[in-house]
Amino acid sequence: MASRAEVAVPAGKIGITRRAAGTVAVVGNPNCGKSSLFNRLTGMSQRTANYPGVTVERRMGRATIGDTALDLIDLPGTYSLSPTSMDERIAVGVLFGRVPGTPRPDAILAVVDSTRLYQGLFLVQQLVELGRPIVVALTMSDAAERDGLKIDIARLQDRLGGVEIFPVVATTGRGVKALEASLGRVIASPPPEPIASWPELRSAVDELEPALGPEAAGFARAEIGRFIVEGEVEPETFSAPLLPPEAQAPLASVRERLFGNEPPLAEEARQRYRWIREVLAEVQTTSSVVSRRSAALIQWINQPWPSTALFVLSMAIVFQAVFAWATPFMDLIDAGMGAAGAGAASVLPDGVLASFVADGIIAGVGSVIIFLPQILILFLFIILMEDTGYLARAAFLVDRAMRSIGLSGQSVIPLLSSFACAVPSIMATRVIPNRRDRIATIMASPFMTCSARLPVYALLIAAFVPNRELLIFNLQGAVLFGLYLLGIVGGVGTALLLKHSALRGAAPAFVLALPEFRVPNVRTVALKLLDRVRIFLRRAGTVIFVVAVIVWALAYFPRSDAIEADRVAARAEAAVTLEGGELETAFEAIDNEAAAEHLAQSWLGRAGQWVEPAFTPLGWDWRVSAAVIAGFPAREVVVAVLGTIYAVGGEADEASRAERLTSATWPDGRAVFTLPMVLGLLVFYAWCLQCAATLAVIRRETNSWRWPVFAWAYMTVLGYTAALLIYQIGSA
Amino acid sequence: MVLGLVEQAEISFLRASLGGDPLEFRIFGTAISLRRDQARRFSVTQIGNDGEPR
Repeated sequence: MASRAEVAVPAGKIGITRRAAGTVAVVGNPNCGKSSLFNRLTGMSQRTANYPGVTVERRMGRATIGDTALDLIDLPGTYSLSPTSMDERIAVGVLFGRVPGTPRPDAILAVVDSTRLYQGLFLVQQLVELGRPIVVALTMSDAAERDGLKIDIARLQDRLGGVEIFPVVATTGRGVKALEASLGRVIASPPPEPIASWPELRSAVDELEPALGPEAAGFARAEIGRFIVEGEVEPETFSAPLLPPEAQAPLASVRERLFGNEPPLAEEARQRYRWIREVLAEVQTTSSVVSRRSAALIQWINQPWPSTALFVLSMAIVFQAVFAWATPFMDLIDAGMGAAGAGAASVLPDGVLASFVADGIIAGVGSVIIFLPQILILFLFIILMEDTGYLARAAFLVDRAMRSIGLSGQSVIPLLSSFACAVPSIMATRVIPNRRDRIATIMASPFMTCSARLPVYALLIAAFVPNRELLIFNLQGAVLFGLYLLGIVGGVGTALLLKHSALRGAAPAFVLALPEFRVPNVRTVALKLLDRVRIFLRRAGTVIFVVAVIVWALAYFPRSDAIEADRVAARAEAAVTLEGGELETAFEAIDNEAAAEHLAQSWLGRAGQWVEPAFTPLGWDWRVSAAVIAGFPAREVVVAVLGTIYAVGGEADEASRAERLTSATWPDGRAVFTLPMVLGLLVFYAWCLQCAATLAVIRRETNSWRWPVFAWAYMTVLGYTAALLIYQIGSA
Repeated sequence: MVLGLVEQAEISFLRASLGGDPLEFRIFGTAISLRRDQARRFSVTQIGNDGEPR
């Protein structure tokens, strides 16, 4: 541990190593500009890790002020010290020193949005009561000035027990110097004077403290105050430990006297906000607001219809970006990986090593980074929406519509993202505070038609759906559209089903703060983007890679010497009779035949033959079954496996692959790919969860194996049943 | 409550979202959103510019 807390500080020209003087928690309301300020203070010296046992990230950073080094912890945003979500529980848990592995902060940097003092001061009151050194930063002071808001800092400082207060603009750095200077002294400074916001609570703590007896001596006064307000809460992750039994009676009597029949949290809000109104009347003046044109524009856009138009427009741009801008990069990666594989195969001697490097390692890495362009673009848009405050506006706009399908307004951006890829979409569900809504959204996401399904759809539709006009529609286009609809129906149906069964419960309180529009900070956006990509590469990337290598091994082993000998013999024979281009074509055909034979007797091929009886009712032969099995870890693999298995080569163009599929037959001569079979296969692809990365991310985001296992089993059964019904009814 | 919807707080109605729900209010400079069925549980008194009930 000691080595981690040490950092080199250049003092003069001699590097000396210095331990951090202490830990400062950065605390504030959600969207108050806390993270921008944190980034400004710590620069690039950030470490992120998870809090133990939960998926909330812990961001720590080192701020060097003069010759003092401080460890800053960026706590999740919270409105009060009475937590309602996991994020808030962590913020409160860290402040009270209850989170293992995270030091109890020595001092506090309270961050308050100048334009939202009303809510910010609620938390500040509670923070001051913690009795630890504290500094307050008033962020967005430029926005406050623009709105004609004047804050009497000296007056406010007085009312807050002498706490130092600094107006800052985190994005430009204005005022940050003065704040830093104060932070440099904060650890050694005395705790603030108690403030007169709720004197009754203070006297109640005075009364209860001695009555708790020696065993409760370990509790801080602020903690005792929280016991009085909240009572003894069900022990949960990072919640307060239980009070000793002999403390129960005095606690109950103090609460009875303080609250009577009033709900304590309501009484706390009443008391504290009464004080806040008093203070605001004294310190805050609103000069006659100069009506700004930009403000008027924002007001206009927030009207329902302009807002809807903006929503549709921004979603159109996102989709355009994800599909049009990402495609060239994806093609480039694809080509690059193909070339690297071919290069490796030509350098290495033919055999297991060459195949392992080219088809295992390089193809595995390729299947991870092929996602990067789309994921980067999607995350960029999601982060921009978060940081401009638009995410909350979009949630407000569509809340009613989303509620009718069992979700909430905040589900809309994750759900729309899943039309590109379910992985970033599931990671984006973190913005949904209600756990049931969040799980329902996670379960609906994998149904949406992601970009990895498109190659499979394209292949099968081009090969088997006649290209003709149907009224005003093109039949192929109509089928593709139908598959998109099918995904939506599956996702919405699942959300509704879950909300009426496993996730049933009263509609949660949907009280959403709607932040004002603001220009995002480039550095904050970049850091967030980097963070999410890192998570994707580490969590999903490793899974995709391992799975790609496993599929390669299943398709490669065991190797038959007889097939290899036949291939060499056939090539030699061809070389005798043919030459030039004809010989090349013959070689290729021979190699493709050999590859197909190898695959047929590989573990994968055998697995296909073994499970064929299970899939015969769906009209699939062992080849299709093997391809589907290979596609379970990553559905886009299927196209390449079908190519290999039908001996047209994994990299064959669509036309030759389609032609080969059309001529595939059962041993008795019936065609395999009939229209009912193909339609069933398409529906299977629409509904089946064939993506290890999605499973890994669901596991990570729900922090249990229960949901990924359920999602996989449920979607597989659904896809199988649908394919079975379509084939049986269609063939009857 | 935590957002400051308490007795004596001044609140103004801004607009309704698409389809009339949820509702947007402004409370001490902050816009917040409430669903209709939640908003129904609050009782409000209309006040004039002088802050007196009218």
